[in-house]
Amino acid sequence: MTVSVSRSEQPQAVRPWSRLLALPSGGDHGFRTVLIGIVGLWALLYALNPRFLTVGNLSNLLLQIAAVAVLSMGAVIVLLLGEIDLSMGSVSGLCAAVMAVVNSKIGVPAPLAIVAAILCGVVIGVMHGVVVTRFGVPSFVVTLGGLLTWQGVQLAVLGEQGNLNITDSFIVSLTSTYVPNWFGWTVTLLASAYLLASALIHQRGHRHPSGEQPSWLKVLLPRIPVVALVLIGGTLLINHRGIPLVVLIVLAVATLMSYVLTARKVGRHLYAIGSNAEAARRSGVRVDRIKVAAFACTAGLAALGGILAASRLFAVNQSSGQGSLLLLAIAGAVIGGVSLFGGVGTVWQALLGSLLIGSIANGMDLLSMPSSYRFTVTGAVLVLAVVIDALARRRAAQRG
Amino acid sequence: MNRSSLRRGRMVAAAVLITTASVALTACGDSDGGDSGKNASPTIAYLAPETITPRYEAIEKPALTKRLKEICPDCRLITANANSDPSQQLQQAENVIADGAKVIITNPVDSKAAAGIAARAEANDVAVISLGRLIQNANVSWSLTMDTAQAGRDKALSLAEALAEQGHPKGPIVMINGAPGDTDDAKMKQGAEEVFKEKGIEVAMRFDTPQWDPSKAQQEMDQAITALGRDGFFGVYSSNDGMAGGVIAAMKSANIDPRTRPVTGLDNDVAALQRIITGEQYMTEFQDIVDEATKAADVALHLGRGEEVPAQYKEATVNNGKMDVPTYLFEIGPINQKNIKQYFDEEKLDASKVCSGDFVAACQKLGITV
Repeated sequence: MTVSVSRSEQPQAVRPWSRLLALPSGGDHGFRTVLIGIVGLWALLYALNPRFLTVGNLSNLLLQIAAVAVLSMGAVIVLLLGEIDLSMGSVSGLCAAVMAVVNSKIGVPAPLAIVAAILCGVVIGVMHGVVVTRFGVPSFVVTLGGLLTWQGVQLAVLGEQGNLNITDSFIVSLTSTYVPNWFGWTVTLLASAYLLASALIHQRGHRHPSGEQPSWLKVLLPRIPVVALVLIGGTLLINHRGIPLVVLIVLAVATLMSYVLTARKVGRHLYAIGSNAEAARRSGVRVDRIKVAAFACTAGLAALGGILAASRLFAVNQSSGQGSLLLLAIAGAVIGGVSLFGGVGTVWQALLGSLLIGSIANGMDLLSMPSSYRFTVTGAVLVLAVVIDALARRRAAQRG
Repeated sequence: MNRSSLRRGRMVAAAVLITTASVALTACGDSDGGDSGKNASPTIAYLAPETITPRYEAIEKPALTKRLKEICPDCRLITANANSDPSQQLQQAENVIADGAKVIITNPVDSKAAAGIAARAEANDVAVISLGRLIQNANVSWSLTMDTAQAGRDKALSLAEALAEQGHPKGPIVMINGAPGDTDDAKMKQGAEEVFKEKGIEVAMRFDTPQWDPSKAQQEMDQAITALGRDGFFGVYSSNDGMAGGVIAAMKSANIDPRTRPVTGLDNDVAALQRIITGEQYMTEFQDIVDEATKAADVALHLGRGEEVPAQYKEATVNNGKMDVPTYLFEIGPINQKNIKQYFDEEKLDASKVCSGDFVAACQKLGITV
């Protein structure tokens, strides 16, 4: 359940870059549960409508979950601290509105407008963090206030017209471009090679308790499914219409986050605070600073998610960022196995969780099922995932 | 353990505090000169249902405010928005009654639940004017609405016409409806389905869209394209403009030129009018909201002053289950590329908002100048 603080003090054994992709290899129940869940769900949906497993649909699925997945990864950062950010949906809507207004009404070039929107998110996050740390107000309350506040600001930013078409080709291209095939192949092969190489390097850093070095085959075996997935997925997408740019954006963000969270001091401090804030403080971790930075990152990612959603819809409106976006983002992280109580979870889990939730919505719309079912099923899956995870952890704990 | 329960306690307390604060906030509208009694300048309240559709905050409220200022400069107008929450709207009604409102003009979130609003108003001798969705099973002083089923038929007829022009008079089409349970949308759906049946148009897939959410509509359309194939549909009935935007975005991502698949809408949103001008959206059903709001202000003043409402405001009566409500029907009709110029010329639509930025050239092509 908890990651001991001492873990943050033994990084010397592991070269930081070998943990860039800290994919869980064993003993990580959440990850495996969700993976099995996704396979089962996909099989079921395939049986109900074979078009579900067409490359076109899966490519769509990836585009559909991009925005919520980015929010979900953002949620991981604060969840690791044992905090929460309920304003992510509102912040994503507000920042998307800021981008659209700055770009189309003021005429600022799109890349700058995007930077402005993300900065807007970061500033909001810093404000949340400062109120949480300075005044000791629970993040639940601060960000609940934020949820309403930023929604109001969003309405004000959009003005009385209430909605804006996005016509800028750069913003639109974020979610409608497919990268050239040579680039797609390069990324696919590099990622596969890296996944294998990092497992070997990671293993060399860790001496087995018994002192003997396990064979390279044993080391690589757990990585085979993931590598196979990358290779097959990459090949299929490239042969279809190419790998969507936004998929690479999301994976790049995930990789960067994973690196910072697991290989940099600040990331390990984050886990330490989430496990035991007091102990972390006593061992010299600057708890407040890290908390503020965490809220800033979360809100910055919410902004990025909002930008991607707007790019996909070709519009920003008063409902952008509202509805079930926030709940799905947090549910995605939790279904993936990120603990609400801090200290446990990875960005990859949040990605998988989003994929599972996205698959439900995608499949149910494909079957033209009433939306009432969609919420019910997603809710049931959320609880089921957490229950299975809790059972697995308990069993593991009993085994010692 | 102890600490965490302490913290949780504090959280609950804070949550309660926030709720109370927000109630207090919604309770205070403008607070200049609140007197009661039937006088020459009664206090009037406008309760909007939500902030997602621009119709209420962007058109209805400004038009109402403007008209009231013209006909009764001393009247006080209190406004509130329920953010799609029927119980919040009831609370807002209670608040404005307490604040001295003599007339409540409401666009109910939920036309059945709003019977509670009408009952509270009646008990306090406050008149109720229902805009849009008619309040059901209650005493309502006046109603200003459109022929909702006709709006559905208009959309479907436009679509049928466009399908015939493009050589696919029988469809098939995809139907993207509004929020499940929305009584207005149900009427439009029914009107549209009648037309489809009449014309023999096949509806290949139907969706209801919670909260009329455009991004949800986009996903529905993504999935419809996947299920039917890119050539498996020739048009889309979308119940409003926001969702039409989502539908068109889905087509674009599937490399389908939206100009080749007519899409309908409703609300005359600026964004939709721009899409009509560029040809991406086929039509939107025009609703003369300015006329509706202006007439609502007139009726409200008469009712607030305790006067007889002139006959010109009573074009029909509509039974709401309890009474025949005197009703004013505002103008509706399809706007498409062919007739949009006329709406601008008659100043029913504001060209300065629509023909800006990237859309100036497309407007000029249709002869529309700002």
